[in-house]
Amino acid sequence: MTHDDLEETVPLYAIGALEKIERQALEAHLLSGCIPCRTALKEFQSVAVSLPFALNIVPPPRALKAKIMGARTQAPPAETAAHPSATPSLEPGEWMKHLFPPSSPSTASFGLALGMVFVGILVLLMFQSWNSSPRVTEDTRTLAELQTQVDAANAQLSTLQQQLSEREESLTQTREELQRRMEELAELKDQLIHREAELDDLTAHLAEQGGHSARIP
Amino acid sequence: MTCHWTTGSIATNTIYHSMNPTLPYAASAIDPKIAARAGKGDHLAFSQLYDQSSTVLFSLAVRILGSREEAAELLQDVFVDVWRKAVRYDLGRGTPIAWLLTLTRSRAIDRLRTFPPRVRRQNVSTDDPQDGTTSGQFESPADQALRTVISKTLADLPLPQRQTIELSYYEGLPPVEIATRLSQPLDAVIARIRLGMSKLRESLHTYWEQDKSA
Repeated sequence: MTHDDLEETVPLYAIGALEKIERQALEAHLLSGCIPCRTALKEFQSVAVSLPFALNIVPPPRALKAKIMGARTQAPPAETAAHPSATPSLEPGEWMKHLFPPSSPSTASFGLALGMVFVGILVLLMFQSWNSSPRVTEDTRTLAELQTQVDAANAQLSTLQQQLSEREESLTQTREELQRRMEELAELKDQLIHREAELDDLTAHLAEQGGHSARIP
Repeated sequence: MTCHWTTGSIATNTIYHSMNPTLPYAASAIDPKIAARAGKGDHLAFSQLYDQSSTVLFSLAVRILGSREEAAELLQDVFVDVWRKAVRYDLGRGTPIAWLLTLTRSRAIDRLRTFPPRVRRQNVSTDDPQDGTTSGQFESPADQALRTVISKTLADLPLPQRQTIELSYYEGLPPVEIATRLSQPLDAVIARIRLGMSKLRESLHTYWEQDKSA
């Protein structure tokens, strides 16, 4: 398509009446730096956003503002959670929960309670064996076996607690890393927006210098 | 949702009118700082953004959707998204009102495409915007001046040109669908949109120049 062909599509583009292929062709042309077309586009877009000012004026309901003010602080609707694809992205905390098992302190507490139960049983058995003299020898052997089992259980418990601790540490590091990456991403995005704004200003400035400046409503 | 180039617009007018204390509530003169602050959790700025823009945005939503109730829902979605930073204003998007109008139009047309017009037109409110006439006045003199110019220019356009522009802008119809609906050749529809938009541009050019020198 020639420049003239593309220039003729500008008013249609501004009003949203171009098909995808034509739209992409014009966007590529604009990106190539055609100042007259970009100036024309800004003016035609200004025309387009002026159109609603000619409509029948319909004031919004008086209660709408209060409703909007209230809705800002409410949680997003439940359907959003039911359809994650409708949301721009999941919060990191949400999908992190799916990657790692919950690291609640209740696991450690359960292990501690289990250990205390074992110790309690052991003390009870020791007390009973001390009171039952006829079976002292047998009970002493049983007690020794139980003591061994308790020691083994405690050792296993200790290993589990250590593994849990390591996983918690790993999870914390991963979260911190993710948070840092998110912050870097946000910073990059802000920089990009800033650069775009600067580019627009420069383009407008160039257009004015080239004698193509126009008053935009 | 259609993605367009940023809307250059009411920039110079914004500066001009915002410096005039008699014109504090013009939708066409929203200070970009207000829009930026509204998206950063400033309650007062958010409230002011709503006050200045809601009438023209609501009128647009009613025109597209044909229902006050749906228009109110749409406007609520737009403003809540502004507050929650789901959408964010920046200078590259043109003036605040151009950004909000483009956002409202895009979402209203998306909604229009989701639900068949025949279903939604059953709920058309008493204010039927289909006749193309204008009624009422904006409170702000700046908005009213723009309204007068654009209304007159639209009224001066030949009916086929105005019709194709309205079908395109308010119903989001591509030229091929407009051609089918109006039983007109596609080339004629495209030419009418192009001619109509060019005439509007010329008229507004004169208005912008006069406004600039005033």
